[in-house]
Amino acid sequence: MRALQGLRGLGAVLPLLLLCFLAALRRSLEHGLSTAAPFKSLPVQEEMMTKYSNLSLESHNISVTAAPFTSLPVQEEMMTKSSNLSLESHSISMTAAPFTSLPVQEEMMTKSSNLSLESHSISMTEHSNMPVEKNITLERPSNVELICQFTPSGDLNSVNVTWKKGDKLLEDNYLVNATGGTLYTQHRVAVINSKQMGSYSCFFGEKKQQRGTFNLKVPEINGQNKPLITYLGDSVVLMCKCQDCLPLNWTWYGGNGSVQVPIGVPVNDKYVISGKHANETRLKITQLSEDDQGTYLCHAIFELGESEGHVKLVVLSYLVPLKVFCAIAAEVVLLVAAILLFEMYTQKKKKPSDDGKEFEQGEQLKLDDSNGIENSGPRHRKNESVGQ
Amino acid sequence: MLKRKVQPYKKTLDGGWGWMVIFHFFLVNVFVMGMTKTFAIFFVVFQEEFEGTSEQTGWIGSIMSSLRFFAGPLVAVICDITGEKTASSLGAFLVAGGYLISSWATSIPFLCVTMGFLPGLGSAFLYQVAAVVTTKYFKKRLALSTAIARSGMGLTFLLAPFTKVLIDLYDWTGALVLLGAIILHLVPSSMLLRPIHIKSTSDSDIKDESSLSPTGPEAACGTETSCCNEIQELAIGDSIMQKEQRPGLSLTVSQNQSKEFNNEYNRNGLFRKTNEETYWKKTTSRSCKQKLFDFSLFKNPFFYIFTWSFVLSQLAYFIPTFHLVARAKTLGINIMDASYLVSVAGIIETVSQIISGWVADQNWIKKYHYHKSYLILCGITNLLAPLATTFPLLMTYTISFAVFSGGYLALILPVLVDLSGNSTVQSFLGLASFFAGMAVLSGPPLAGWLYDYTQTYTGSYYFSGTCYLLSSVSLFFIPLAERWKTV
Repeated sequence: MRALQGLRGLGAVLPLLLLCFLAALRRSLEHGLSTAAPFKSLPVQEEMMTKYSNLSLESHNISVTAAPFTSLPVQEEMMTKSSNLSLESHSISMTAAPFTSLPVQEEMMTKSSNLSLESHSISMTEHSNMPVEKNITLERPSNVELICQFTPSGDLNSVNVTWKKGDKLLEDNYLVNATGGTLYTQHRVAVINSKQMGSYSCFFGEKKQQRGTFNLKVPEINGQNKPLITYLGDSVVLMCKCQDCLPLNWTWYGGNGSVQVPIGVPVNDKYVISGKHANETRLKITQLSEDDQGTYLCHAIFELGESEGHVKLVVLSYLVPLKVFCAIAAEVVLLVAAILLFEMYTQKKKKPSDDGKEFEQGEQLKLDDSNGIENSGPRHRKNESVGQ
Repeated sequence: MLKRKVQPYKKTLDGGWGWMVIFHFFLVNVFVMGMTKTFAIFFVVFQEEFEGTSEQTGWIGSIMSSLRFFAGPLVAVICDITGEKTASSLGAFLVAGGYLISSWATSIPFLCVTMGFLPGLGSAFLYQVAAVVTTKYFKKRLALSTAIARSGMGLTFLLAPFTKVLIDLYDWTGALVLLGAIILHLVPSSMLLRPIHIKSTSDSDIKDESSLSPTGPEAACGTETSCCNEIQELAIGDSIMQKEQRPGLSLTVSQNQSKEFNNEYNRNGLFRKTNEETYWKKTTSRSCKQKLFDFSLFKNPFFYIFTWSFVLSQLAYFIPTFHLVARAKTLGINIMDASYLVSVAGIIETVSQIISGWVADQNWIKKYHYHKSYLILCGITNLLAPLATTFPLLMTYTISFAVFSGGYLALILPVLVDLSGNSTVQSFLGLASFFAGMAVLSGPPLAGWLYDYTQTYTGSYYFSGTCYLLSSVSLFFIPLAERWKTV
C-alpha cells in the first residue's frame, strides 16, 4: 500500500492503468471486503514492477478465487526490495467457509539482508482473569511476529478477534486461524523506527474480552540504585551500563530539580565522558563541590528510541565522618580516664595497709642482706625444698 | 619475700577480676574475627575502587589473617619488655591506626601495608596477650572461660551488616575511619588486664610478665626456659645480695647453661645496687628474652606435638567453612538456605564450645584426650562429607562438624597450658602460632587449587578430613613424651 502510494511510475501507461485497477481492488480487500460472488470465480492477477530510490517493488501478484458456498481463496504475491527493508514475497490466502466465518490465512515469506524475524506468542484460556502481558525488548529494526493463542470453552468460530496498538484499532496485517480447538491470531509488525514501538494487544471475544498485550520496548539502562557517596574535592566515576545491547550513542544530563543540562557539551576538564565497551558509558567528574550533588541521567540512543538510567550523587564534607570519629574517640578517652581513676582509687585504698608491709619488707631485706653470706647453704637447701 | 604493689594470690583466681579479663578477651574475639569477616565486604569495594585483580586484593586479607599468627614470637618478646597492658594497648593502636591510615589509601599495595600488615600485627598482639593473661587468671575453669570468651566470634555476624550500613552512609573512607574509632575501644578494655602474681604452692613468687608455671613443676632449670623462673625467684625471693646463691644453682643446672647464668649474674650484679623493682624486671626479662630467641622450645617434645596438631587443625578448619556455601550452591541449594546453614553452624559451634569447655573442666580425664577425640571425630565427619548431597544431609554434616569443631577449639588453650609445662605460655603460644601462620597463609590458595584441580568440592573435604586425622595422631604420643621427659 505504501509502496503504491510512494510510487513514481516509470513504466508504461498500461501498467499504470492496471495498477489503478488493482489498487482499487486491493484497497477493497484490505478494508475487509472480499469480493466474491457465489457460483463464480474472480481470478485477478496483477503484475507490477516499480522501482523507487528507497523502495522497489519487484513483483506483485494478487489472485482472488472464490469457490461457491465454500471458500474464497485470495492469493497475493508481492515482492519488494529495498535498501532498508526487503520483503521478498508476500502471499495472502483467505479461505472462507460459507455462512459462518472467514478464517483468513496469510503466508508471507520475507527475506531481508539486514532484518531478522522475531516471533513471540501468548496463550490464553477463557478463564484467565489476569490480562496477560509480554515484554519484548528490541534494539535494532526487525520484523516482529506477535501470535496470540486462545482456547475458548465454547464455539471457536463465534469468537471475534481484534488487534489494537495502544488504543487504535488495527485493521490489517493480521491473520486468524483455527486448528484443533485453539484459535491462533498473528500480527506482523515491521519495526523500523520508534513509531512502531508501543504496546500491541489482541482481543478475543465481544462481551467478555480476553486480552493479551505485547509491549515493545527499547532495552533498559542500568544506572546505580544506591546513591554514590563522595567527598568534596574528590573525583568520582558515574557509570551506566546496558546488559546485552549496543546503543548508538550516549549522552549525559545533569539536573538539579527539573532542569536538565547536557554535560560535556562545552568540553572541559571537569567532565570526562568515556567508555571501555560500547554497552557502557562512564562520566568522570573531578573537583567535586556541593553543587555537583543530585541526579544524573544517562541517555542511550537506539535506532528505535531512547532509554535512560539514573545515578544519584551525594557529596559530603570530610567533617561529617570526622565528627563521629571525634565523638567515639572522646568516649574512648573518657573510658580510659575512668579506668585510670578507678585504679588509682583502689590503689589509694590499699596504700595505707601496704605501707606497713613495705616497711616490713625493707626490714626483711636488711635482714637478708646481712644474713646472706652465712645463710647461703641453708637458703639454697630451703630453695630446693621449696622448689620441689 | 618481697611484695609487689599488687597483692599476690595463693592460687589462681578462677573468677573475680578474671571475668573482666574474659570480657576483654571476648571483645578481642569480636573485633579480631570481625575484621577478617568484614574484610570480605571491603574486598569488593577495594576491587572496584582500585581496579585490582581479585588475587591482588585477596593478598590484603591473607596478610592480615596470617600475620596474626606469624607475629607470635614478636608479641612474646615485646610483652616481656613492656608488660601485658602496654602490649595489648599497642596492639589496639596498631589496628586502629592501620584502619585510619587506610582511609587515605591510593592503591592496593598501600592497602597491603596499612590494612594488612598493621592490623594483622595489632591483632596478633591483642589476641595472644589476652589468651596468655586468661591462662594466668584461670586454671580450674580455663576451658570454660576460654569458651565463653571465644563465643565472641558468634557476635561477628552483626559486624557485617553494620559495616555495610557504614559504607552506605559514609563511603568506604568514612567507614574505615569509624571502624578504626570503634576498635579504639580495645584500649580501655586492655587496661583491664591487671597484672597478677600467682604464688604457686611449690614455687616462690613468680613474676607475671614473663613466666608462669601453673602446674608447679620442680624448679629445676635443667631443660626449659624456666631458668627465667629460677632467676627471678631467687632474685626476688632473696632480695638483692644473694649472688653467692647463684653458683649454687649451677648444681641443678645443666652445664651448657652455666655460661648464661654467669652473664646474668654479672648483669644482676650491676643492678643489684638499685632496689627498683622495675630494674629487676628489666634485667630478668632481658635475660629471659635471650632465652626466647634461644629456641630451647625446640628441645621440648611437647612443643612438637602441640605444634603439629595445631598447624594441621588450623589448616583443616577453615576449608569446610570456606567452601560450605559454594558446595551448597553446586548442589542446587539456594542462597537463603545456604546462609541459614552458615548461621546454624555458627550458633552450634559457640554452644558446643561452652559445653566442651565445661566438660573438660570437670577433669574426669585429661584434657588432651578430649582434644584428640574431637579431632578424630572432625576428621571422620569431613571424610563422610561428600556423601551429603541433599539439604537435610548437608545440614546434618554442618551440625555435626560444628559440634566437634567447637569441641576442639575450646580446648586449644587449655591443652597448650597443660603441655607447656615449664616454659612460658607466651613463648610457647608465640612459636606455635608462627608455624600455624604458615598453614593459614597457604590454606586459601591450597583450597582454591584443590577445587580447580578436581572441579568438585569433595576433594577439599577429603583433604580436610585427613588433616584432622593426622593432627590427632601426634596427641597419641603424649604419654611417650612424658615418659621420655622424666627419664
